[in-house]
Amino acid sequence: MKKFAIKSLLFALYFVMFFVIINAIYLGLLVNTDEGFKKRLQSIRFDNPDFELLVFGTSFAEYGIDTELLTSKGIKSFNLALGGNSLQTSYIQLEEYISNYSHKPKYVLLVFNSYREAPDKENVSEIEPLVETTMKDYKYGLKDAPVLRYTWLGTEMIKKVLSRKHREARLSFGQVKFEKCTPDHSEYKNIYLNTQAITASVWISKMAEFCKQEGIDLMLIEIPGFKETQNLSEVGPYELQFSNGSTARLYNFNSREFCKTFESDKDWIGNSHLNESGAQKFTSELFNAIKGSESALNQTPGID
Amino acid sequence: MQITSLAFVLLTIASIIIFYLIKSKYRVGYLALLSSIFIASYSYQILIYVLFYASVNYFIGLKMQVAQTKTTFFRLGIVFNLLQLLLLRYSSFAIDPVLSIFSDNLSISRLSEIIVPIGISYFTLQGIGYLINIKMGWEKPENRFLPFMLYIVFFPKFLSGPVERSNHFLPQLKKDQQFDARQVEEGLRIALFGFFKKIAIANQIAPYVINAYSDIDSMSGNLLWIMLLIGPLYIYFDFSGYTDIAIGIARALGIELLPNFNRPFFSENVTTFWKRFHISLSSWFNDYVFRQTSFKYRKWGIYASIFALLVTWSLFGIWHGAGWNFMVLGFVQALAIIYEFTTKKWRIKAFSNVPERITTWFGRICTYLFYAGSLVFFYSPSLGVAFKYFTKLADIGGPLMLGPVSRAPYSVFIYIPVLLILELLRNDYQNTYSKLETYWYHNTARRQMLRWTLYSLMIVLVLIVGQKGEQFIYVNF
Repeated sequence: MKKFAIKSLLFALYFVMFFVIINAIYLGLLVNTDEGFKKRLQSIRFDNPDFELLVFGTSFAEYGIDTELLTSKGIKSFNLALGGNSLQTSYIQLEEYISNYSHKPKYVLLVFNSYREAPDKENVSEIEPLVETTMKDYKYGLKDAPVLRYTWLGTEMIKKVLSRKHREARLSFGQVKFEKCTPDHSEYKNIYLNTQAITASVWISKMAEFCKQEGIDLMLIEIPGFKETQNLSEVGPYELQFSNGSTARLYNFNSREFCKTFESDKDWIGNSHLNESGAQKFTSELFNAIKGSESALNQTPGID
Repeated sequence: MQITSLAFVLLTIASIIIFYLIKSKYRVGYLALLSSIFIASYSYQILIYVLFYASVNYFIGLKMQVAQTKTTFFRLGIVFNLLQLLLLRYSSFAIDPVLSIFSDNLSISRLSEIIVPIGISYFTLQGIGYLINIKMGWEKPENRFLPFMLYIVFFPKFLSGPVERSNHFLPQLKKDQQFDARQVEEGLRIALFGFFKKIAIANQIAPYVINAYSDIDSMSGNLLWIMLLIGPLYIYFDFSGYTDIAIGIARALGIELLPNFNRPFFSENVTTFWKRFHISLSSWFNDYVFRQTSFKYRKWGIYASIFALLVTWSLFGIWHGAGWNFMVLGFVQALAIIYEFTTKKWRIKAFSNVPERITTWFGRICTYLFYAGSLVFFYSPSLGVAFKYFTKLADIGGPLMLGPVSRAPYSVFIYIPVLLILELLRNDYQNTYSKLETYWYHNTARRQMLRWTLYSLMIVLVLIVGQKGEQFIYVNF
């Protein structure tokens, strides 16, 4: 029995060593290959950033907003969106950015596709693991071992091993530029934009309140998606009023009329995500909207 | 307590250590206590009920020692076992519809809401089997209550079997068990493979198969075909995973449980399939129902066997649940076996010129497809849904993908072929398999490290995917 106990102990030690090594290798690979990971680390280690515009949201925004293009047009921008982000995470990221850096952005773009993404739930905390585990004062536990916490990134890594297009995806000003094309074969549905669901969102209203306090212009962007997600409502902008008294402007770029700009077989990665060319087209239009909003703000007394 | 939870694993390891630290005369009591705590973690009511159930069968067993009252008590015991099963498990199917004729408010099935009948189908068969063994003189009644209680409640097998035989289980408790490192090691290894099968494979497929049957209307014909073909693999990895966990833990505790699976997907016909799939249950029905019935009606000649097959398999089907779909599940198995039984000579003659390898694989594929088709009755909540499923299969088309790559369980398409190839080697290429086994278990430091690396990797994979839990499908019985 003593022999068996020693053998069991040795196996336990071997397992611990194996677990540590596996996690170290996995973390090393993620840090060096995963765009989201690289971006997250970059965003908490900026050296006096002076961005005028920050983008928050999920993978729709991460792929679909060309911050390099916005920067080249004169609005220095960075895309902080991460795949699978919750609205709560976007709020945390914004708060964190403002507390970490002295230069406040002029604009914050909160991007979503309300057809695809469920609104947040009150009292349910959903913080994106990459953000949560890299937050200041986060207390690490065994559950935070990279192989357990960043499981989905392993699948992304396998995709890179298997597909050249995935390997060629690159990070630029926080945007993941992806050339892959998947045609949109979906069918139109007669749906309208539900602004009530947006104003009912706890975290969007918190974000609006925070932006108001910090003097930041919050723009809510309904990002273009596949035909099945597109709505029959106007582009807007819509002036939204939240229950906490704050306001935000919503641009409905997922309007069927506006989305005619996109070619169904050229501009999509798949599953309603814009590819590099689609993101460029969209961002050019977005730039005009920002500029339009800027001039509108300048002409509207009391809002600035 | 979920068997796949980390708490269960840690408590089981601690229990095994304590088991070998205490004196052997206390071990049966210790295991009975552990099993009682395990059952109580589900519900105190079921624990109390199971103890009552065990006491009644124990008492009847003792009373059957007296020759004059043997038959009376045997009949009493069988009636008790069947009645309690009927009341707690089949009342909604067999009793309530009759009671509803008299009054809308009469319902016996409410009883099962108070005593949640976990594991009832398993322990009832064990109870009946014990009484039949005594009646037939195959075994003497157990005089001590604790070993008999342990036979009924032993925690690794309580929820989903294997269906133990008293004359296999009880004699093991009489032996003075010494600590055997190899046995414990082997038990833990089998359990690890069980956890891997259940968590890394079955749990990953489960949502897809379950969703397919809960929302057939929204599924395309192509996806229903995929689910039909995946169905047997899901049930196999889920149930054999549980069985491996049960057998592994029991072996680590020095108890051998009956085997339940023996590479079933390499069976060449349905008859052989049921000798290799859920063996403990099918052999129970074979020994206690089929043999007894066919013997009783032996004067009918071949029709006695056919009649016995229909009875046995209909009961086998209904054992799975209170519904006509389960009855049909058993009935179609009976039809297939009767077909194989009655056409055996003709088939051997007809295929005598075809190479054996072709007939073997043709048989295996047909058996798999037959079982996959019959499982539609198993997974469907009702006969109507099952027929709807078959109708929709004709509507071929729609998406073939299970969903976005990042969310779909594509890793199982690596694990399943690896495990099936190993089974194939063991089944068809025994020499190669034994060479592989000799290589793998060779006692050198390098091989040990290789083994430990694989076990560590399996544990890590189980931990990675084990965060979302799924219930064992056979716990429903």
